[in-house]
Amino acid sequence: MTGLKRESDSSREVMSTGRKVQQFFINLVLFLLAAAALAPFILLISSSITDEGTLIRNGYSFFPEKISFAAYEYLFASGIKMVRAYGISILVTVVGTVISLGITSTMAYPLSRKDLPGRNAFLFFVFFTMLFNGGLTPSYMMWTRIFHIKNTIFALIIPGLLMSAFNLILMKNYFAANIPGELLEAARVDGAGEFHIFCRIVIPISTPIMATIGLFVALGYWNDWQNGLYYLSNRMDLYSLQNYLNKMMQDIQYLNSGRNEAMMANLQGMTMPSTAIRMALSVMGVIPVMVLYPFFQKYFTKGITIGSVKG
Amino acid sequence: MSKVWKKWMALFAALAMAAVMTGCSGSTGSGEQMDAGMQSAQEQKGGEASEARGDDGEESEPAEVIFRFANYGPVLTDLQLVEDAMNEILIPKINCKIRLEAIDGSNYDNQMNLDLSSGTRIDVAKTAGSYNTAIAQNQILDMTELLEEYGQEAKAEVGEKYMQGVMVNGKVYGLPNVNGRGAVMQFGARTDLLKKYDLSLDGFSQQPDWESQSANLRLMEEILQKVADNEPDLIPLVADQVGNVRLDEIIPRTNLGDDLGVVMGGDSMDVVNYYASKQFEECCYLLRDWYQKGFIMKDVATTTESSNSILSGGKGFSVLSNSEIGWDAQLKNNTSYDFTCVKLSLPLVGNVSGMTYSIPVTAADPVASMKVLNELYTNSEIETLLTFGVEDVHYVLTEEGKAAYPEGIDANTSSYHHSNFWAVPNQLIALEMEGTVADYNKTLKENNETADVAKVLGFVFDNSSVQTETAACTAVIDEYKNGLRSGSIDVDKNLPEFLKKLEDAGINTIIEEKQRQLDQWAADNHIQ
Amino acid sequence: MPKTSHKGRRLKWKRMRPLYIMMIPGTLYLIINNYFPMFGIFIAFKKIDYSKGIFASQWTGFDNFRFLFATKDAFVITRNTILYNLVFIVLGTIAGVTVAILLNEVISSVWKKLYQTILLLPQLISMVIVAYIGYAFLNVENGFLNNSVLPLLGLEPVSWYSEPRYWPFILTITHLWKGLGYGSVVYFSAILGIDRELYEAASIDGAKRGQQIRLITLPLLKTTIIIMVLMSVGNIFRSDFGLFYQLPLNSGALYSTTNTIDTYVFRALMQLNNTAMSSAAGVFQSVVGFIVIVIVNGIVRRVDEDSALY
Repeated sequence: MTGLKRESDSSREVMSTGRKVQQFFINLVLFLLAAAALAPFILLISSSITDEGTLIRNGYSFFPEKISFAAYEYLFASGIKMVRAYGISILVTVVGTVISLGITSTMAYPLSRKDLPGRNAFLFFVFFTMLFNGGLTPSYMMWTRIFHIKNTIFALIIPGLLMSAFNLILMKNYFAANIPGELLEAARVDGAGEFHIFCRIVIPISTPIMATIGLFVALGYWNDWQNGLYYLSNRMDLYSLQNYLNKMMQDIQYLNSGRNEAMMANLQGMTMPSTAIRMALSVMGVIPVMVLYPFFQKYFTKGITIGSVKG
Repeated sequence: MSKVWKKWMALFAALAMAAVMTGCSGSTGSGEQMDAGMQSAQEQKGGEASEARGDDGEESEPAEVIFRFANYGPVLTDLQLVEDAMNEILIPKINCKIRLEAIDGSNYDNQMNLDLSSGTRIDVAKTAGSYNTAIAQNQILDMTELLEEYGQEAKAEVGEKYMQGVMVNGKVYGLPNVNGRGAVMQFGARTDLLKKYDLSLDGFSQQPDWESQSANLRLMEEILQKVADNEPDLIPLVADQVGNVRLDEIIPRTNLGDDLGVVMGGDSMDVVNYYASKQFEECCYLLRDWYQKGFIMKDVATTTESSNSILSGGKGFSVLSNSEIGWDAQLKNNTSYDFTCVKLSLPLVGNVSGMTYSIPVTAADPVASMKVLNELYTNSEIETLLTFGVEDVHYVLTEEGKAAYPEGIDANTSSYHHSNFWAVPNQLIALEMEGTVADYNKTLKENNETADVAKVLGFVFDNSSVQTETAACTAVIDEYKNGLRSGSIDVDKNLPEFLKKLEDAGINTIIEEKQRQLDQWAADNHIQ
Repeated sequence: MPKTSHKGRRLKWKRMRPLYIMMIPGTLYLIINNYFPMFGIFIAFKKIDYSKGIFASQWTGFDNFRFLFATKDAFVITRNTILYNLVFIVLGTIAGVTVAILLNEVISSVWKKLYQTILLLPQLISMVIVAYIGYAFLNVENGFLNNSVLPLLGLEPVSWYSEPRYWPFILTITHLWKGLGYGSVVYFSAILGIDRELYEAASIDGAKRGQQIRLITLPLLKTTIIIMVLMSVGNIFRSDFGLFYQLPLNSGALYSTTNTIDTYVFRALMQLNNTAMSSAAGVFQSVVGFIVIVIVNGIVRRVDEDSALY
């Protein structure tokens, strides 16, 4: 925070008319972009509170003619399921993100060291995973037959999401670019071991990248539904929020797939959530992230402080 | 540079070796079916299943049978309760224990493939994908002998007439589910509007010949025109499926596994390209005409609303669908409007293997599986539990003795919804659902007995030699079907283009292969 | 690097050992989660017989790959996949870097935060919902564009879901809109990592903001940009299924500009439900991506070794 303040103070001193105009245009561009990003989201919210009949007659609208909170009431009426699903989503996201940051950073740091023997081979080893994968069947076979994680909470955390080569490479680059060699050298001269250096020097100055990767990983966990879909066959009580959301979406698509069974299900009145409910569910999936995101952001801006202090 | 390459090549080679070795050791696990079954049996702590096999000694532990079915509705959270109630009946009766697994209908085939290819134990299940493919890929076991010994009652429930529909070279691999097979195309229209404009549905014919059907279409057009003229805000004809008005389904035909090569009518043995037929073309042009006249909504091919929600929003007048008796009640239930419905043809059963229940290749104890399967087809208490859940928890009895949701609960809030009633092994022995007509199950059963069957019933097409062509043709059909079946694209230009692409994709190869197999089958079964 | 003595090497190894130990959990995870399942690649060459299990099933050579080329549209879907990816990579990078730089220039910390949060929102909405929102804008009868925007401009209503020529723009805009927040976060955090003193020194030397961006920010972002681009290049034969399938609402009339390899594979295998054929498609995409990336990385390595991936 202080770094930011200092910067704005110093720029205020020299803030000329030209700079003010510049600021105006920068803000204008970003404002328009933000508005463009926000508009569909507002539409999402407004259609979640539009009366169902109105929605079908008039279509989607930013300013619904008739407002109704029926969709939300409905979601909360199914009460305990929703609360539990939220709980599962939060648990999985938090645990997954913490473990992920742990194993990603401990691997990224050695890889960022140019003097590490075999570094290129390891990097290729990492990178190769981005290109080839065996597909779902072998992964599923391995996780269920060897590791027995089917129908457990681990199934939501471990397969696929714990570490990605993409994040690893981003973090490695950050370390390589931002950890001053002199600092490491100095620590080494002082007799510090590599573990010590990692904990005391590397971690403290890597908040921005931790926040960034943490955000990506957390989003990955928060938005994941595949693990729940494939690995939970009779423990629906472990369904996360996204599992519920995804199930509704899949059901709708399935009903319109033109398959005989699907046509039959449609005929026999397989219930499909109304548009308002789909929208409401989706809003509920986004809100926690909107609430939590500013906390991550705090760490992004901290990077400025660190940047100005480090030498 | 080369040094780097050498290094990672060595590393990769080592990894590949490791992967292959582990892969091979894994292969013993799923290599043979019994082996796989046993392994997974132990892993599920159901090792007793194989011990109990064969002898029905009272002291032996009940064999556990994993029963997997498709769930066409909201999440079923109360499986355990239903399972316990079933076991109270099954353990004393056949010394078997059931374990329920409900997989979403939309993910069912995918999940079954995953589980079967990884050797996960499943003892009884709704067959994944199509019956013929499941047999061709050895996903399900030949149950002919087991059926003779433990499944006579189930066989009787299905009926000799329909058992021939799942017979492949004299063997049975799965039992067709029992429900109303007499479903035919129906036209349903809002009763209030019919009255308002003094329209009647009496003139419709049920004869399958094309002249009668054309007359039906003209009659329908008059009705729709009247509504279009007087109710500009209403969609005269709502598409039952997104992009599919289902008008062409009045054309009498029998699919042979898929719609790539069909026989037209009930007596034909000639495999033809349905999309190239005169009738299909006529339907396309008529639909296009209706679309341009405004009978069909403009966004029909891409709407995100289901027909039920359009109708329940009061935005539509009529709809075409394939149904048995009591469709009006279902429409009333789904949309809260009164509908008058009329059948457009007589029932013709060409295929009963659309939904079958079978014993997967990973079953631990096929004998126990068969015993449970037999109960699932014949025990009405079990059927009612599977369909409606536990009495007074998930359903209550109405005065007419039908099953209804308890006060204040609906399909979405219930922890065991009733929407799967039509997909259970034997719908006709369970309780009837609230809102159905009197003697619903009895009528369906009678209709099943009287329904005509197509000559080709029982022919099962093995598509394994034309997989590539099938894939390519499926993709082509997906490109055009919504446009043509909803009238939203120009027929003059698109229909010939569609047919050309189908030919390029190899539909004729599929048709030839189908004809060859059909002729062979006919010769083997002495059918002329 | 000067040749180290034997003793020195041993010392070095002792120093480095903790680094290798630190890498164990991550390496193990990659081996288990990513490398081990690669044995599944061979499924693409098998005709699966479930009674034998996937390992003992019969080999079929390249039979499972044939359907990828059995269509007359093979050229169109390949062209679409590659062109869209190229456009997405180029425009996505430009937009991401520009927004990151602009964000960094904003003085007010409140607005800076607000922009960031809002720009990330689209990322959080699932593609199916995006498709519904798209429908609200584009549907013929009461969509916003046809109802409100086009009349204002004095234009005729457009039947969006049956006019393929508009879709390259619609898809690109949607992709950028959805990915902008994510992309700019990467570059923004990279900018934050740049030493402030560099700017201060430049400022004292009288460099204008524009010059600072050109001379300091962009060169220091170069590595990040190259890495991001390289990683996308490896996926040049893949496409976002949701974007190309859900957003056009599977409208057949639009296939000439919306059909990609992934949507074709999905459509083709809808009925067959054939595991071997779908893994064949995956293997094909991976192999092509692998070849492309090795070539591009080789070029990068030649030009600027530090920026190469490995």
